[in-house]
Amino acid sequence: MIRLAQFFTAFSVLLSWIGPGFALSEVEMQQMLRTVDDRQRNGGDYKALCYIETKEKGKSDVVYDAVVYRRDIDDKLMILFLRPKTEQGKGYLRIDKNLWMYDPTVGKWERRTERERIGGTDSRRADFDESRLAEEYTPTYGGAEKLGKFGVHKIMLTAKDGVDVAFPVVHLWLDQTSGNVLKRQEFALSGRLMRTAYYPKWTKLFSESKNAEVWYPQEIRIYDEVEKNNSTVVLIREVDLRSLDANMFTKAWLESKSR
Amino acid sequence: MFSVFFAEILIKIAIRNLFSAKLKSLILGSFVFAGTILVVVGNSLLDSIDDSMSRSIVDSFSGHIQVYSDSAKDELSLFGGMIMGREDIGKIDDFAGIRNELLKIDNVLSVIPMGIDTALVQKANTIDVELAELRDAVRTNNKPKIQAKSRHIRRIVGLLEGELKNLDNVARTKDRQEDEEHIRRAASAVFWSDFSQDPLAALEFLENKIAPLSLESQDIFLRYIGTNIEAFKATFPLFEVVKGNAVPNGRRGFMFNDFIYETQIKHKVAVRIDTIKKARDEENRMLATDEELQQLVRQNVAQFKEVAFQLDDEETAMVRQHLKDKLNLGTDEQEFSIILQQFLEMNDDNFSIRERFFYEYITPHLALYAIPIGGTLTITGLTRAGYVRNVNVPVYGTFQFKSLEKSALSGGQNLMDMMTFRDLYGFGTADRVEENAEIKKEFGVVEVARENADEALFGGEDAAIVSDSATTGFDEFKNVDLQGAQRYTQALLERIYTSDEINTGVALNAAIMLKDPTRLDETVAVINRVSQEKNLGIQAVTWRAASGLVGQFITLVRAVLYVAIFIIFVVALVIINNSMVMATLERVREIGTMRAIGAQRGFVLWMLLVETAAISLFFGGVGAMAGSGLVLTLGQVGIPAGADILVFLFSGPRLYPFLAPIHLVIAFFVLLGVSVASTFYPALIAMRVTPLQAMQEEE
Repeated sequence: MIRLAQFFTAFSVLLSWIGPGFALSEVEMQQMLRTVDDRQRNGGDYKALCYIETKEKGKSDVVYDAVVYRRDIDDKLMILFLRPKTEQGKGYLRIDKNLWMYDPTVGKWERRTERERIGGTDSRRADFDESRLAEEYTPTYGGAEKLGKFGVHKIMLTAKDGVDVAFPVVHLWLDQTSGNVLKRQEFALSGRLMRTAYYPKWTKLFSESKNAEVWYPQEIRIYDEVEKNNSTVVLIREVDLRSLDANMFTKAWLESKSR
Repeated sequence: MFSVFFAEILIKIAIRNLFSAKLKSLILGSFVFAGTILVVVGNSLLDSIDDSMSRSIVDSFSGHIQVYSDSAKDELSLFGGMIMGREDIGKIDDFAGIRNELLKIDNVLSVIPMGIDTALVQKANTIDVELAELRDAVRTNNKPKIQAKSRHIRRIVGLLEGELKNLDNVARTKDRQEDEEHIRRAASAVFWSDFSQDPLAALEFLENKIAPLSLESQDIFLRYIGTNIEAFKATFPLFEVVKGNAVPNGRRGFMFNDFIYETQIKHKVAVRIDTIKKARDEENRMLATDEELQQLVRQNVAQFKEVAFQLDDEETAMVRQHLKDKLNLGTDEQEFSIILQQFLEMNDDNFSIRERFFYEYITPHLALYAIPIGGTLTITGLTRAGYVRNVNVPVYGTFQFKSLEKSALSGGQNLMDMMTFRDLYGFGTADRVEENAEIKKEFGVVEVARENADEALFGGEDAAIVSDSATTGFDEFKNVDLQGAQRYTQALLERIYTSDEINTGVALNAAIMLKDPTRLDETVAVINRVSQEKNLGIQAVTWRAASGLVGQFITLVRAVLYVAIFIIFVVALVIINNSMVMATLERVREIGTMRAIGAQRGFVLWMLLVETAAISLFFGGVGAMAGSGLVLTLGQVGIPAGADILVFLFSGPRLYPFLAPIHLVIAFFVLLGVSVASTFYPALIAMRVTPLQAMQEEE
């Protein structure tokens, strides 16, 4: 499967050499999306130390030091805030279609939606979760472009029926050489541009459970296109692919960390 | 020149002419009569409403004057402004210092700190609430509670299973099949017999697979005033506690406005029944003919689960028995949900009995209010610094503003202690700001402007986008104490704050009560001058300006009234003018004859003026008396406030208008002006009539 993915990536790279005006077929685009998804997915567990910094005009910056846990095999995700002190112990837990938020200062769980701004920043749950582009969206080709010095494919994505995503329309700029996502624009159903995100640095790490490399964006820069003065930077500082405790993705575990 | 003799003659002529053309006089007079009544009654009503509305606003929470930062981006609007979202009215950093300065001004009686904001409260769905309580019972190993809650949740699962079975079988999607499997598992005896073996795993299953099938949660936006509640109570005479108690002095706490408590926090089925009762009792509306009330009944029937989910097995059996015994509803074979729907299908014949039954036999088993008095309210706010802040605050009771209990406008504000407000509003303390700065410094993120992000991030020669990592893992909990936030908030709830502590710190605005309210504008000017001289950084506005659109309402209505009066009098003026012109043309011979026997032009002018004045004064006088009588009568019986907005404007359920001499003076001058203006042109024609013209007139 992995070899097949690598073959298709190489094939798409070859196509990009043939000429920038060459349009990708739907099958090729699907394959590119699957490659993006597969690269970021780990067969086992995933743990990442993240730093989130949000700027808003007229306000002091919001900063978080957080840890993200993922168990890709059953689509579970957990975000736990470590710093600053007033935010310690707060967390998000995604199980199936439920996104929960826990606040130890009030000792309560609340249901949140896909549109939740994580910790009040411009980031969404999907920014920390595994990539599910092929599963959630249908692609159409937008053309070959230049992004800085990189040749990129622009692919327009529309959410599939019945899939709950934060943004129903997404435009992606994929590096023609590596296949990585370099830029992403997200739109509301009305067509209004909501966010622009950049992924200027990708890091790969060998995973024993996957027996292949796992890719992650080391840096995500998100610009709010509605509140033009707002922006968020997410740094994924360190990733740990060792197995996590079996009972970690539960309310009980998250609660126990701050009790 | 103008002797009594002439005056007598002029009056006699005027009276003769008026009586000789009775119909014309009556038509003219009726316009003057109606216009005068409108001037007197309209002005009286508006002044009375202005007076009562000012009581509604000043004595409830605005005070006579409001002060806020002079560098505010938006204008202060106590009832919410035109801006979607939050108004930015800046902040008063040192409220205690500002208060001291303001109290030195002789007409200032008291200064109350305030901070008005909106926060989110989530009303969770019943199954989530029950599951949270079961989780709590499991955590504390409270076995009786575990058993009771398990039974209740099992019953809810049973209801959900029934509901899923009744759905159209055509739409059996893959998700639906999975849902059915989950429900079957949760309803099975095995699931509950095994519950005690691994309760947390069972809870996770119920919370994530079953509860989403019944999502009926609701987000409520609560507007609140953070204030020194003790001082607020003492300052605003309309404040009164309705349920529970006021927040004890110095404690953190929350008080719901009773209007919000009864309409938004109360059980939805109960609110609908209350609405129907009010419509029937107070507005004489009937279920048989009123589409809106019928819609409420339909909603109650459709949402019977809101009652059924809250009853456990024992309570269901009790309610079932009562329905059978007292209302003869349902048979032993019928499902309870069917009987409940039959009960909620109310009409004019059974409404009164069923409404009483609902409160007597059903509500004792329901959580009638989502947040009970004595309970804890979790409020979510977005701090000014951008963090999402949740605070737990004890609910001590509900309050209302006397006589305004039915007004949605005055019912829009809840009360919160000043310390919780400051936490929720999120003014970072010095140590928090310092900690954030340290974290930022540690990571040193370089800012990239959005305009040239493409080039800055991907254009450089060294733009390498792929690197390798060879981490061996990390321990995220090293040197991290995650219990800190919880300890901090628990300690806060137990503290009792002194008045000095409450006054020290940030407020967004402040209410000022005056010793002599008639010196309102003067005092506003003094405060603004003192603020400039001492560089206090505040601006003062009257209660009317601070009330935004609500405060401008009376000005708007007064403008509409004046336009209406103007139109009536312009019409009157044209008609009187035309009538007088016609009358003058008919009287050319008479006027010419008068001129021939020595009447001067001035005499002719006065003759017409007196005629018009006589009509105006007579009918105007009668109109003024009728208007005064009407106002005085209404002042005794009162005008009922038919709509909720009128309760606020009338400062109570009835308006008792008063008559002020100024209203009669205004009416007199308006009449005088109309009389003179309408006589001007006919008089000009009459003055030009010569004896020669009169003699040339044909018989």
